[in-house]
Amino acid sequence: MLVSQRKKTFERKALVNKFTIALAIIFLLSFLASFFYLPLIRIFQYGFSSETGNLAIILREIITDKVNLYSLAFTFGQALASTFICLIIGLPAGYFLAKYEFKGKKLLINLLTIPFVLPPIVVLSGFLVTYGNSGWINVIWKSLTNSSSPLISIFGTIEGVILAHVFYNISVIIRITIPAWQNIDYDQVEVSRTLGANKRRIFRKIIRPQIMNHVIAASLLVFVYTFNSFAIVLKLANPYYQTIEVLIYKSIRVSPDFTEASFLAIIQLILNSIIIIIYILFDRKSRQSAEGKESNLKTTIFQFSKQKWNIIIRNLGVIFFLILVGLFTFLPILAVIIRSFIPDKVGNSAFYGYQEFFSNKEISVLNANPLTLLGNTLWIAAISTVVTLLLSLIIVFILRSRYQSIKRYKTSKAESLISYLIILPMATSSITLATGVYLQFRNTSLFDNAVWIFVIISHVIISVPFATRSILAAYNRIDVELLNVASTLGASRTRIFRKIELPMIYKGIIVGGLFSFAISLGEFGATYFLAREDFKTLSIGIYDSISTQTMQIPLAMASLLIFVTILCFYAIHRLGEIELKV
Amino acid sequence: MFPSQAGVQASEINAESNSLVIYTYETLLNDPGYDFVSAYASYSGISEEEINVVYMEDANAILSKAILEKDNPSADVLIGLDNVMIHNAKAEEILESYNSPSLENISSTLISNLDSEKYLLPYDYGIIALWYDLNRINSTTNPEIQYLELEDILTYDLDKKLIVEDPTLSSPGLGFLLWTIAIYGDPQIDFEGVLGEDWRDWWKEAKEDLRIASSWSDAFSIYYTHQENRPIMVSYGTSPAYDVCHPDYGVGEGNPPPSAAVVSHENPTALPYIRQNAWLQIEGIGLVSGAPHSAEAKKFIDWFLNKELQDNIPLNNWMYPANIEAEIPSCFAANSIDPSLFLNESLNFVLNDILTPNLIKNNLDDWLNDWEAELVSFSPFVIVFLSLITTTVVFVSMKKRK
Repeated sequence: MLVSQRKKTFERKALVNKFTIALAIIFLLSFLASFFYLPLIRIFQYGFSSETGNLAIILREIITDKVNLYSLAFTFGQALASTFICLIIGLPAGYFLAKYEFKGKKLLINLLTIPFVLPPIVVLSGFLVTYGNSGWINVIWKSLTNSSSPLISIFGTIEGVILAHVFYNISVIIRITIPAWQNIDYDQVEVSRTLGANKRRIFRKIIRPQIMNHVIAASLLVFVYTFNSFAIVLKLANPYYQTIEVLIYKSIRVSPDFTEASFLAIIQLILNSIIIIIYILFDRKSRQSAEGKESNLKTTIFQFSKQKWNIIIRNLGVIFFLILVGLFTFLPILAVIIRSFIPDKVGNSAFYGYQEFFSNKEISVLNANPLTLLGNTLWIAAISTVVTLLLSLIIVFILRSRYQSIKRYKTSKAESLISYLIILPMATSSITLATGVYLQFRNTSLFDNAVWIFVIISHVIISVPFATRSILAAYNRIDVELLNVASTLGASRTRIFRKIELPMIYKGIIVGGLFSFAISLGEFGATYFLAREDFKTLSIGIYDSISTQTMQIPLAMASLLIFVTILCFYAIHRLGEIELKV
Repeated sequence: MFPSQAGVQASEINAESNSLVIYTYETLLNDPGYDFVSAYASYSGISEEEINVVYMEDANAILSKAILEKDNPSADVLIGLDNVMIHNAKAEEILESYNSPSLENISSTLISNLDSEKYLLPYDYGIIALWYDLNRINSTTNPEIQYLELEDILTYDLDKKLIVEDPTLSSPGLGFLLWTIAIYGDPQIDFEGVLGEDWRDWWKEAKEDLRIASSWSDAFSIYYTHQENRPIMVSYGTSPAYDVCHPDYGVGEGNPPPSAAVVSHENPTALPYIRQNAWLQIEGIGLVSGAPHSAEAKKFIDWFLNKELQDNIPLNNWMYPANIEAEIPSCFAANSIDPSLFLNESLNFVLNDILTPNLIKNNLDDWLNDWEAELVSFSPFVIVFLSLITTTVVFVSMKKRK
């Protein structure tokens, strides 16, 4: 009798568990469906339908259109070139940073990461201040050579776009390859050296296969970022060169042509999905090969003994190279902060930008008060963070519910379904996402009256994959046996989640939260697309006013964003590892 | 505090308490600023809160928003569409023809040049001109500037000093593109133009040296920054007046003007006098088709074309008022190119006469597309080829290691 009673309670609990999980799945799926998959379907619907004339002819026109073809080629070409140059500079820099030990190395690595975590709009302003026609480099060059032509011309040139992309993404390569260099199995190197292999052979046969996965994964990542570049290309290269993102934006917002925009968005989506899938494959491989390995690279310190002058020269070369890379990546950020204190007009104080900002006078180019922008940015980021965390927790909860099933370690159907469903948002560029949301909701009164809801939704969809990954990383460290014990002792699924898992993934949640907060703070593409004039955040304020006569105000805003973002990432750094965003 | 603020902001639009919704561009009458909302409120007795003005980035944004909403419009009045956008606006049927009683004081040539069917009614106008800084460019440094022809821009390397706006994004930029088309002509559609050549050739030669800004204010900030070394920009014939008559930024009437404006002086038929050729921009106000508050909107349009408002156009919107009774301040008149000289005098030539509305309607999309394609200066095949090689290399190296 006792047994049957136990059995009954067990069955009842199993039912409750199933019910909660089903509830979570339904909630998640309905969110994803209404705010991501339906908009996506809407894009396809628009892409393959036309009110005017024959669809086949129209699609052929879009594909053969000269401007579209050029842009497609440009998008590919600049992404390839940017990735390649990032590799050329980033690989040796990563090696030197792994190999050499010196004071302030950690600081240098952290400084090198900063451009990457900053909002694109801030990076863009730093880039303008440093390399623009009236930027520092060109002004110094002009005064040195007495010539009137600038050294670097970044407007309307391919070089300008590539330089900006290299500057923005070089830290991805450096950060990923440092552990790759560190984790090489040097015993094998030693063995082959004693067996008489020369340096080239060792590199080809032993070192290259071990770092290749990391290098490819990092390159794919850089490729994706540069392929989806929007703000930088819109400001620097338009109308000479355009990425597909810029084309999509312009064909919806400037000359409403939904068929063309949707069709381009579909092309963008397909290409992105291919790259992301390849990336995930390589990333998994490189994670597997890095797992459980200790760093066994023998680090060297810089030695300057009098006898070996060739070593001295080599060391000086390395130091010089690292200083150059450091200057290249850090100067523009520093320039934003310094430039925000330099008055444009005689008589303005050094704090003019900040005074104007905090005095909250309306800025005429923006038609908005600066503090409203700051407020909008902060509360949008706060709400996005909360929603993102909620969704990510639900995803983690569903993914990890398998421990309750009797056949313990088999991947459940729900898990595989969900893990596929959240890959697609990763492969969707912010402009494609915004296009879908716009096409789906533009005629609703909610879109007219409260466009910020859709801004938040797009921020959430952009940041959910990162937050989920941070939380999962923490979750994977939980001892599975602990959960099984709890479950044998009769704890329900929700109770286990509340009492064991939640406290143990607490850090991961904070990291994920900070992550989505930082992403939302600086998000530009989707916000600019959806809410151009109705609702402005700091990013849009900077973009709109960066070309006015007083650079001090936009740069003061940019400095504020730098400050908050660095604060977020410093906190993340203290709590755990910085996951690179995809 | 902030969410509630945004709530208020957002619900203002479309709220039923509105009795008038107006779409316009951000800079309408705003420099130094004439508060037309409160002026209309006190004229009409409607409270200011009931008049909802939605400011957009530029006139293009007004047009796209109105087109997107055409089945269920929330705006009553559109201010700022011009004599080029009118074609698109009419094709999309977003406007309703309105024969305002105020039109009796508006010059009839202006009405017929904008839209004789009165879907869009002119409220101000001006000519597109090259505006230059006299401290950096003048008849001493560049004697050709006085009787400039578009060809001189190439011959004397003025394109290295010139800023134009992107015609796909900005209306003065579009005006300048049409200016070049009207001067050089387009052999592809058998349009002679003034010179009977091809406008694409001009752009082909100039594109490397020009600086193309995305908006007028972008262009202005480049013009203003001396290190950029670009003292000429595409702007309006009234721009020099801004530098003299503006209460804050102007040097004041009677002082030597810091800047000047010029149009082009092509003269193929060897007339005995020097002819000026200019493209005219006419900005209009229109009643939205199916406007929620149609009667109120008509009242507003009547008022907008009246002398009370039109008097404020020169020194706040920096254009010539369409109303013939409106006062034009002497400082403004002395320092700008008067567009009515082009409309009413045979000495000067308004390019709109040859580049007719019909031509624009049929070819504008192609022209803009060609213009964009003209700017690209690399071969896509090189890149396609490069991409193919890279992909192959990546795949081969992937396979090898398996």
